[in-house]
Amino acid sequence: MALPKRIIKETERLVADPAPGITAAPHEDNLRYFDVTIQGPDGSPFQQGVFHLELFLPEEYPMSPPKVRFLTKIYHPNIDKLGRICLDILKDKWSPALQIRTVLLSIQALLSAPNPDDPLATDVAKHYKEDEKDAQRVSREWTEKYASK
Amino acid sequence: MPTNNVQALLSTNIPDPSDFPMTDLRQLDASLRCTICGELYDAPITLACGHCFCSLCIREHIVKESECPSCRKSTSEGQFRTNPILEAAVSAWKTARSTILRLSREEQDRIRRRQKERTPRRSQTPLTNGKKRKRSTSTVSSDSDVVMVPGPSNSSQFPSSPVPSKSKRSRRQDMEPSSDPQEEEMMQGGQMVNCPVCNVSIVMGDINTHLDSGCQKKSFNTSGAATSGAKDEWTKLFLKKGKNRENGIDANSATERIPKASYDLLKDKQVKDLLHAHNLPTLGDRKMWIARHQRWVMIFNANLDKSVSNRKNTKELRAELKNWEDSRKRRHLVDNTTTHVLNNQGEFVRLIAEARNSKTRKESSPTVMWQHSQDDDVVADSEEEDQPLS
Repeated sequence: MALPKRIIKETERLVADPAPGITAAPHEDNLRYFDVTIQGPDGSPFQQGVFHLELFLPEEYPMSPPKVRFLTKIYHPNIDKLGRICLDILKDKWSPALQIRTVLLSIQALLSAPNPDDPLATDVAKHYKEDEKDAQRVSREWTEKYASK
Repeated sequence: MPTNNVQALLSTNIPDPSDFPMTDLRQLDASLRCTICGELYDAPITLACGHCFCSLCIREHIVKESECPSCRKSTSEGQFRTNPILEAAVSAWKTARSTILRLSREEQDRIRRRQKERTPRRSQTPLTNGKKRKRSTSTVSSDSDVVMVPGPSNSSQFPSSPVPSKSKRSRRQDMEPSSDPQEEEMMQGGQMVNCPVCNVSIVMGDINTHLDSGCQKKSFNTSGAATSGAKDEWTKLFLKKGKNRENGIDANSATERIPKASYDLLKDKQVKDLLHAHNLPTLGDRKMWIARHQRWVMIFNANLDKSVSNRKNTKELRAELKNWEDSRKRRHLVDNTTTHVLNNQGEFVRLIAEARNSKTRKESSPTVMWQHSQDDDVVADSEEEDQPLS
């Protein structure tokens, strides 16, 4: 099975020149499947945490977006308990000009800027809207409990 | 077997901007690459917003989304403009690239060697002073080599590379603001609309009749009467005489792009005729015919977006189509999910049971786990569908 050149190039760059706070390595038995880690951004309740994600490039990639899911539990209004992520560029706002790198950077940015107005985990979003301080406290707790290095 | 795969992947050498040691050359190389496929532009197409893509890339994209992949401005096939200047620049760069790559690497080595010779003194500031000048002159000298190099190797077709590549850059910037409103004015002022199916421009009032007739009756009021006439001819060829043609339509001599067909309105026989018209195989079912024809239209039309000397012949295009079909066959595409589920029920049940068992072993509280593992199965299944490609 020949891997499209674009995927090979992206993989090379991800490994050789990773974005700060992000690692992505392809699986040995499936080169379209990546093990990803994202460091919680400084200044966010996820600071100090290292979050594991899985990323899969479907056959149609780059015409279709990569499939990304958190494997580490996270208390975030746009990420549900199965780790699914509510992010426009992973769905209808995908563009083939985007890359794995840009997607992962966007996810990192989503950790810095939760958007409770477009929730996926409704209970977390409600918590964030009603008492942001307390919700951030829970996010910090979860980060410490599930995402510590 | 493991690690080998990744290692092999990482050691494959695919030309990429990062091949160049100098940032300015990296930028030059990157600016001549399509952001969809990452390759040097192949038959570059400019959209109304000014962004460029390979013809085949943007044609593939536009089937799904009618926005520019770079700026999300709405776009359509009617806006596509070929960009022969950029194409010439890319061709020139392609021929010059390996020489420039070699020269720039040699230059880099020379700089490094000189730095080593001087390092015993270890004084950074005066050193960089001298070095900086050296480096910048060296970049300039490699640049002037750039002008020299493409001359002999390239003299037959294209002017020296730096000129077109520069003009392309400024072109992009200039066009971005101006062309879009113009385009819109033209579309709205003339009351012309693009048929959503075949993309031929039609007077707004006629669009429904046009659609009802299955796009066969072309509008005669299009701005370029000549082209619409020619298109009409082609459609006649495709739809009626197509069957009788021995060799199909020759890509070399073709000048008109193939209009899109509204497959839903066509009977099986008519879809087959579309394939016959291009001497394409009619293997498989209706779905495959349509997919084949759609892809053919893309490949064929993208080929016409190249300058004449770069075009491929029909044989090569057919080979391309076949490659595409073969690569598609290897995908486990499930057409009928119900029968697929029925046929593989045993396997699914086994997998689900296996997953549940392993979960039960890991976790202690069965009630909570039950719910959880079911959810997880859903996710795992959907991924399993995608993964057997490796």
